[in-house]
Amino acid sequence: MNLAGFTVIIGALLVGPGDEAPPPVRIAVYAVQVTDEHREEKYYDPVLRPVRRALDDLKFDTFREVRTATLTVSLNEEARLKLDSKFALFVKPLSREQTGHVRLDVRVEMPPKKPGQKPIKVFSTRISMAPGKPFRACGLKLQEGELVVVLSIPETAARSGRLPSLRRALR
Amino acid sequence: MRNCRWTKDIERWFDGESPRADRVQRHVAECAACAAQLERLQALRDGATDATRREEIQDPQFPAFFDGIREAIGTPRRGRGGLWALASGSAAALIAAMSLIVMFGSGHAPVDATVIESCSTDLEGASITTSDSKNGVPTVWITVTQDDVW
Repeated sequence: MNLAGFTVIIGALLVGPGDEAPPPVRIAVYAVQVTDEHREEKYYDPVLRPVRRALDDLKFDTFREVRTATLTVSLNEEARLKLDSKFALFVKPLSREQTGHVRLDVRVEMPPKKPGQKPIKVFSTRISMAPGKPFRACGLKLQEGELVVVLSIPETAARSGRLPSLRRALR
Repeated sequence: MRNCRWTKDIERWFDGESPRADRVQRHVAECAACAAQLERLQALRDGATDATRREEIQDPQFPAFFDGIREAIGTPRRGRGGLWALASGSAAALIAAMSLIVMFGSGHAPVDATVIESCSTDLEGASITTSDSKNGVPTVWITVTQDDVW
């Protein structure tokens, strides 16, 4: 390895994440309606395959997609996703940790009972999400069943913070 | 040491430059100081001769001498250039490894779990709890006692 190679590596180290905007956070959202339809085998909509493991302990036999989306949100910005006619999801990434964790505020709101009032905060939580380790919220009534909201951060996007600097330096 | 007035004569005689060699010789035989001075001069000359004498290898020493030369030629000698190359290569590998660790390592022990730090609800009559599923999925549970809320 010659001097130029060392220079490139040292330069890439020096050009850290501090001199560029932190990359946005990708968050996969699955809003699932869970019902009990007295099936012999549990049924999952095919689109729910990535989060099936996060659902299979629930005492329901039917899992249908209500809404799926992948949000790309910058740190300290809030994204809103309408889950159905009743519930809306708000996600706000706060920070990305060295471990790959993303701290974020998650909130679900529903319309007020009376017009003119503020929306009702169904729940609000702050979580530290590990890549590939989902989070879920359960217990929201939805028609004949319940609404389950599953959030997940893809593992491949978890540690991308420094790589763009390196790639650009090696170009 | 006591000096004798013959000292200069002794030195000249020792160097073969004294015109009064017979008298100097007789004096040296009688004067202890000059005899001692003569001994010192002789010792100095002997030492200088030894220092300037070139080492010569005598015939019986030649076989051992050439054996040493052959052995030295036959043994590969690691030059300084090789040592420097080895040291440079090691340093380069170390720096590259540290760079990769810094770039791709987390710097902390990885924490693989998703953690719920806090949660709350504004629903009247609702309670909120957290737990982990059997698969280790952190879960927020909202339990509503008033059916009309929903």
